Amino acid sequence: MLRLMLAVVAPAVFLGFVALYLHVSLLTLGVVLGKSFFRLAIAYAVSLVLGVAIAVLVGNTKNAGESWIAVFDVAQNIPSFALIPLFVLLMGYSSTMVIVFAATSIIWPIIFSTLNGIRGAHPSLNEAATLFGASGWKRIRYYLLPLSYPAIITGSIVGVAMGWESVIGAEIIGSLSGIGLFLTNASTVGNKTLLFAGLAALLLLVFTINRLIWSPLLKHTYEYSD
Amino acid sequence: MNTAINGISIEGIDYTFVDGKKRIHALSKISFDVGAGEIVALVGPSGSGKSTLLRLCAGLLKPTDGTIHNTFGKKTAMIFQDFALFPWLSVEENIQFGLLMQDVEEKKRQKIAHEAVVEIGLSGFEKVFPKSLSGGMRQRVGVARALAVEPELLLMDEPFSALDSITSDRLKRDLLAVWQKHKFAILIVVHTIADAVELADRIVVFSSHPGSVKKIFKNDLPRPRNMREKPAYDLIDAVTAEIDSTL
Repeated sequence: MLRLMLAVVAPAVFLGFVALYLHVSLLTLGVVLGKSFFRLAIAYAVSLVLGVAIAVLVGNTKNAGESWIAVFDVAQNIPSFALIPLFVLLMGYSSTMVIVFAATSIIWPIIFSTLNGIRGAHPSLNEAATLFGASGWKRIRYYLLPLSYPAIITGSIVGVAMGWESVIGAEIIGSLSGIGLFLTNASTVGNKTLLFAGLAALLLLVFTINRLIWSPLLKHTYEYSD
Repeated sequence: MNTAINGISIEGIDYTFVDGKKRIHALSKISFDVGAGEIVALVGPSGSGKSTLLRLCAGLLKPTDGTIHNTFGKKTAMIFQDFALFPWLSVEENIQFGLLMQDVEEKKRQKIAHEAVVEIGLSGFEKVFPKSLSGGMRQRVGVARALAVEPELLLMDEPFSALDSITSDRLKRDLLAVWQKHKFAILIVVHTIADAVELADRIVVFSSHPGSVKKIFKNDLPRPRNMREKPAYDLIDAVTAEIDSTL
């Protein structure tokens, strides 16, 4: 309860302060932050679905994806910003470009974490699932997904943190309206108040997401860990 | 060997696996069978492939050579040394797992799970999650999960090894009561010879490198067995001597 209040009250107090004393338009701040957050949310949703699907399919193979790990490891190590020119060429300076770019960084921690969750299960748990008839889609739905749920959450937390970097980086590089460009512009014109307000608003959003979403989910995963 | 029996016939089983770069011959020419309602115990030095044989019988592993003819088919359940409960499911959900996989409808699942809960002494713990249960209670959940699928063959991999002796004795007693009522066949790996003598109709002694059947003891001691009398002691001694001779 206290956590919930803190997560809601702190941003409200801060926003009031920003609007009243720094004379920064809350609307502008809200719009740019909202744009970046929207891109991140879409990129995360895509990464979550694709990443978990890939990890579950690969982890469900006979040797739990031993050979695929090497492929993923190489792919993951491609410096992600090196992909921006390619994405710009394919998608132009668009939100889609930012989303696709962010997804390429968010998806890896989700894949690796989920795969680890599946591979790290005690062998007898796997045997019990098999022996009691978990096969095909049912094996995924009733065994692999709940089994890897804690790993999906931790992978998501790492992935989203990387996703913020990618979204903001891509916005700065591509000069696309969003919190990244907002901060760059504030810096360019030397407006420290705007820069401070933008950074603080970003931090606060991250804090709120953490308190309202990740923290309760993480706590929930502890409840059913062995 | 008569493959027409109602039970599981293990015929000339060989099992080899690769560990790193080494080929390990785990089992060699294993042959015996377990008839309906019979309890067969596997004893022997560790590393003699007893648990591997159990997994072959469960269909979790494929033999390198030989055949396992299992007329119990899908009516085969297993109890694990480390319980292997699903930590994200409550006690009753764990028990219902096999039924859920068989598409048994919810009402019927609950009814069967409830019966298993009562039978194995888990009443009042239905909604609890495995992590808040003691080892003995967890293994009871493991037993109930197996009972729920109405097995004709129950495979047990050292089910008492992770439990203290008082807990293990109680579970053994309750397990025997359940067996008396349902009369499913049991193939059990135990490391306490006294447990084998108390439970089994036949005791299969394994030797290792590669795992093979050294000798099969028949155990006709009347049930319920008095483990504090000479016939039981004599059999324990004979089995122990046989295992010692393999080392």
